[in-house]
Amino acid sequence: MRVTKLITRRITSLATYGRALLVVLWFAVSVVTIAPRAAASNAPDWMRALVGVTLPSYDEKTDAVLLYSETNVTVLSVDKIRKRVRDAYKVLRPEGRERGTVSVYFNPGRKITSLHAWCIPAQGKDYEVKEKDAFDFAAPFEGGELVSDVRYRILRVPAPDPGNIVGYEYEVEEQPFFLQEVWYFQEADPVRESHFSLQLPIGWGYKASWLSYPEVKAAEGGGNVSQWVVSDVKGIRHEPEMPPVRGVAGQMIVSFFPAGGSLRKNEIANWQGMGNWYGNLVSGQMDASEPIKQQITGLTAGRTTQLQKIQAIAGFVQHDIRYVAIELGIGGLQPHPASDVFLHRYGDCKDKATLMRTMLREIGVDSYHVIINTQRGSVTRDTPANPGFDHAILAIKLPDEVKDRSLIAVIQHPRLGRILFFDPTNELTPFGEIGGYLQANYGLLVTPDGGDLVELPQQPSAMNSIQRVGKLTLDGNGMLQGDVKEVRLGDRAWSERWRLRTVTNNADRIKPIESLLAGSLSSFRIVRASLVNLDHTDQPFGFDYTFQSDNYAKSAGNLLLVRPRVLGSKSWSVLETKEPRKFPIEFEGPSRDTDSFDIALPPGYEVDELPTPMDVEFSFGSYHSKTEASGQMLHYTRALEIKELSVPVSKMDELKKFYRMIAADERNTAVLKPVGAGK
Amino acid sequence: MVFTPYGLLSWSETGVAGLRLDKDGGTWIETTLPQASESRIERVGKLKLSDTGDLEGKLTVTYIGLEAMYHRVQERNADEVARKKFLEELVTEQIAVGAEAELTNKPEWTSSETPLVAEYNLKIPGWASSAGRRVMIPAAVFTAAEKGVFEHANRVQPIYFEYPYQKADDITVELPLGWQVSSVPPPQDRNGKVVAYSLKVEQRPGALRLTRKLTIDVLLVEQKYYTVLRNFFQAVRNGDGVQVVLQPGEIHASN
Repeated sequence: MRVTKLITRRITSLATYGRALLVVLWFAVSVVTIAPRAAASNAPDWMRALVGVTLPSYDEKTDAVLLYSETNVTVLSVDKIRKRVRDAYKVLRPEGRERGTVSVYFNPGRKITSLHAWCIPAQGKDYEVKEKDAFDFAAPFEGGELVSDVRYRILRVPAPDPGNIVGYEYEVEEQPFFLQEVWYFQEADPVRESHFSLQLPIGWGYKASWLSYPEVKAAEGGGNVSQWVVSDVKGIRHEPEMPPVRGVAGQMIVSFFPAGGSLRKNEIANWQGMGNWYGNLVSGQMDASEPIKQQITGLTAGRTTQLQKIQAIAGFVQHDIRYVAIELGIGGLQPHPASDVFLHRYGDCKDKATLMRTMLREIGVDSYHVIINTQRGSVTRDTPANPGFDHAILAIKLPDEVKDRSLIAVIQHPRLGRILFFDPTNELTPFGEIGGYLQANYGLLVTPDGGDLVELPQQPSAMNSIQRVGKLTLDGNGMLQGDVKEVRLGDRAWSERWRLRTVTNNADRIKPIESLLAGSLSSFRIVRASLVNLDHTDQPFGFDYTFQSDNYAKSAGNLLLVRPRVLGSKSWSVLETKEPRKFPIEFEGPSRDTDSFDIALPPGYEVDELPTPMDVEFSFGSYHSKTEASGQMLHYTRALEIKELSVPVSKMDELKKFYRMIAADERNTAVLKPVGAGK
Repeated sequence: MVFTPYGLLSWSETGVAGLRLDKDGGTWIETTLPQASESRIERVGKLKLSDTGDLEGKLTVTYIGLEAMYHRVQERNADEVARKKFLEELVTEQIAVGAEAELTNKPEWTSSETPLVAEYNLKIPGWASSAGRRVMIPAAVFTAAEKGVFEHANRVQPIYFEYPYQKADDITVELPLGWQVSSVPPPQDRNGKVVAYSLKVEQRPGALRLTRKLTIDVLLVEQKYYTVLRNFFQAVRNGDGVQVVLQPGEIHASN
């Protein structure tokens, strides 16, 4: 669902390298059967010291414990950092074996200078594997990513079996894009002890900020070395629909500053500075070439209002610039020149935003880059400045005369006035709206005066909606048939258009309808089906179909049992777990879905009993359903609204009850009896 | 393959040509195709319906033949915790609504000859639905696997089942005190030679006995028979959707 067009894989990689064993890497390790040439050799003292350490009791689902972690960062200059990492895990369960796979990323600006790994078996001699036993791996690209210079060096430690200790040590030298480090000391496994040290050149200073963990004061040593230690940190066990790990894991963000006090271009002191840094990257890339100007002339010809012109440019960048990411060196962060993007007709999210900004400027409309993390919660109001973003969109300063009801994703900025957020990468969301992944999310608005962390608007729930209306007839044999019209708005429309975007065969285009019917009906036949406004993204998307379902109503003696909720499932069993929930539930976006089914009853039958209406109201959502009889007609209506995007743990019981009531309502039955039959 | 009972072959070796080596060189033979009855899932439950509509009780699931072998192979490197989770999810995934299962025994994971037997405490909240004074319960419990099968009308490729198999459920549901059975659905019986399905609800004093049997005794179905196969599974789902109508007694009514 998410439009994962990365502003840079490199940003993500910088933030998560080392212990972060990507699934894809694990897969690669599984298929590349390179047996490490392990040699008997004593593990280093720092690992040996961990043998026999007393551990707290962990529950039976704990895969491994990080016994010891040490990250030493030595800043040599503004453009050279040396980093040494040591990690040692005790494997507790078979699922913990993957801790024996080490992956270290590198690229032309980040070189691995040493890499070793060891295993201390519970019984027997130690083993060592060296860098020559490693293999290099380029992760397969996702989505439209075409080229990246990021590689991974993989080293497999032998015998990472339960009871054994596996550990590794590596050193890298890198040219930093910014003078900042993030220490992620909380992860999936519990951590017994983790150290971080920062050695700065004499005269330099630093600022440390703590997230999701109480602040720990640094021990200041000689030689401008600062050290931090945390111990007995709980592991983060994954839960479905939980906030992004980045938003809940304990971490320290430390920015450092050269002597002298004058800001360098790669310093990140605050969001304003971060915005300046990104603004500098972008500023030279927005020259409008002659072909761009000609294109603008063509696009805006005959369009009389500024809104029409903006929409024409937005449509061009959305649809005519293909998403292709080429991220080499600083190209992972800096957009390509607008003229190149236009010439080649391709680019990634930041390229598209840059081209559109360039074109808007030519018609006198100001706009600004907004860099954002598509996982809401990764960056919040309280997050200190850091480059934890993976996407770039635009904020368009709306001219005073531009007022239109279709412009929803608008905020009033204190300095810039009305600004409209727009994602040119998302080719299926109408101009004026934003997807759920951006709503109520925090993005860095890059203005000429620096960066400003702003909250994007949350759209009304009714704008993300399925409105289903059925006119149906039931016969005496239980067969149900009739017409259904579905109107889909917002992300509900986006998801279907995305699924169908490459489907050209008409027979295949009705598969979403078949899947929908199959989810609710035991048997069915589609008599007729069509799609509405598939390509007209400024209009609501729709399914329009006629179906027939044999044996929909079930006989029970002389009664007919009919489920009034004919189609669609809104219940959710994510909370039907034995373990109590530890993290909030995150919804993709606000939503409001409605169903309305009129069912003409078979001649000779009348309603005997109806399900009781359901009216459930909580702060996070509401559900209302009702079944009524009127003459020979059964009428069912329901509405489900999700109002809050995050439901805290304290409301989990309410949420569970909410979905259980929906599940119960969906299974409720109306009872029909022969006319004149007694109770 | 390890854990394969003597006399059976794993899917990749089933019903395929092989060269039997002998002193004269070799002879081409075709390996055997096991019968559905050799790979079975048997579920026996003693469950109790509460007057609030929850279904709860003891369940024993027995995996036989290749059904056991594949689970043992899949979990061969897992520990007891993972195996427990695996078996519990295996059961709850077969129930069309949210359910809780707690494994209560220690199944035999290392054998190839004995069935894999798993015992559970099972709870299905809100199993019964209501309509005024009546309460309905589905006549089958473990139906989710057949729910979304062959949903599309068109098919291009043949259908390859992993191996012939059989599922047999025998579930006893004890009713709340004073509740009466208003109606039970008629028996369902559909026999398509290589595929068969039956469902029966029997009234017992204060209880119901629900039996269901599904047999898929075929490995490869040509595309031209897809519609027949799809119709069969639609009939299975129709059968699974029938309901027992109950009349709560005084206790429920007073609530």
